Amino acid sequence: MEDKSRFSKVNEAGRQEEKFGEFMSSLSVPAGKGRDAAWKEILQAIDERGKGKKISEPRLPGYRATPARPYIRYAAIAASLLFVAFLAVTLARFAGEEIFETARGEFLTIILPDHTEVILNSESRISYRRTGWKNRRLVSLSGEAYFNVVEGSGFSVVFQYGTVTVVGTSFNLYARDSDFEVYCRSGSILVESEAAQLSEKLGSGEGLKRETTEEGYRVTRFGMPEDKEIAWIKGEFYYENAPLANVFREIERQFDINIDASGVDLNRRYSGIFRRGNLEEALDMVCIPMNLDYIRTGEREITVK
Amino acid sequence: MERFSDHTDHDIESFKEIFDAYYENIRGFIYFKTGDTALADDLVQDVFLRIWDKRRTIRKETLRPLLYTIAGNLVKNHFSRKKVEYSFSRKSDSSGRSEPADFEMETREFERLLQETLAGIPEKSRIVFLMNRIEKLTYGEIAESLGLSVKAVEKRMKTALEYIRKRIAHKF
Repeated sequence: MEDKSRFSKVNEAGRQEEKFGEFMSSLSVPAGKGRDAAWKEILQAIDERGKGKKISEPRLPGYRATPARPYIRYAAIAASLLFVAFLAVTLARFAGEEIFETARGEFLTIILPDHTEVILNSESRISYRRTGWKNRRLVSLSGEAYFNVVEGSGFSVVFQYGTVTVVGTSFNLYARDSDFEVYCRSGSILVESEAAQLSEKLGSGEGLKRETTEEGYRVTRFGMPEDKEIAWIKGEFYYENAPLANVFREIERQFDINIDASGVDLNRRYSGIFRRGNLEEALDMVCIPMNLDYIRTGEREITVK
Repeated sequence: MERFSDHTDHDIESFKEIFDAYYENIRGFIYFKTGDTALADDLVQDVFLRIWDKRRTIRKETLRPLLYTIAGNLVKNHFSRKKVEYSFSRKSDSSGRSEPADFEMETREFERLLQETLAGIPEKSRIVFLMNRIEKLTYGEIAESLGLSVKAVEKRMKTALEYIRKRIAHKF
């Protein structure tokens, strides 16, 4: 008796699935005003626009260049900053410290002494000491990097607002300004931040981020956003409700340009993707959905408005 | 068509091609996200008007992902409800066979539950699933539209199917 009812249950489930398949293939999105009516309305709207001011027509000719800047002063400041940086690097070398830095538009893969692989995103910096490395695997990061850690004794990454400690795992750490985001791809990690008053363990597929908000800051945990989370390694940058400021800053980093968006509300949120490779395509993907225009105002200067 | 001052007939023609090719897909996409037909009707027009405004700068290669990104961002700005309700239409049954009344009832009940189940699939998987099953887009097309890898699309499809399977087995 029992066997028979179990059999009929299985059979029933199969029948439901079949029914479901039929059902799905017969569904359609409920009708609305219809494509033809929609097209007519759009034509009308276009007509209206044609009568009014021209929005997108004279892009380059009408543009007024920004006033010349005191380049020499900037050059002097840059030179002295460069010297200080050089000095710091040299001194650090003496202390057995290895420093790797990426400029805008650069990626760098670093193999640490224990064969741990680090991929460094643009405008990021990582450092560690060779002396005592065997006893203590410790690196400092500002910017963003993906770590594929070789198993062994504790491995820690220190950043401005905290520490990530792992055993053997791969994870991504983004730490710029006062925001950070950690995503554990495999294994498990411990994220500690005194500034954010937290100490949390993340398993594989789990992430944690701290964002600055108007009221202060917010810490949220998140699950695996499919396999997008470390897409930047492949040169793809995904955003889900991200402040425009972050998106533009990443474009500046990836394409080594400056974006002047001073007239734009940078707190607006963007969801989408851009890719390394073609600047115009990247700008289109961000600006058009946000209803913004951009103009090239110099070799490496873009103005968005 | 002399009255159009800042564009040519050719502009309109190529724009119409884009419109015809993508109108239903984008409208469907917005409906999948919101379950709101009126909103889908409105926003799909906004999407195309934005494309029209940028017709001089848009590249062919980015057109498809751009349409979906614009739609996605418009939805984010206009739709805050978390829970979505669907009322998909059924294509009329052309076989002409009529079903007994109690069977008809059972079918209707089944439909209602399934629409609810569809609405309950986690958003990311749900959109991909509906784009594939209802808009009949291929995994490749979905991947291109949403800026995903084909692998990610496969994964989302799997998630959706598992979700549905679980519900169906439980409810009946």
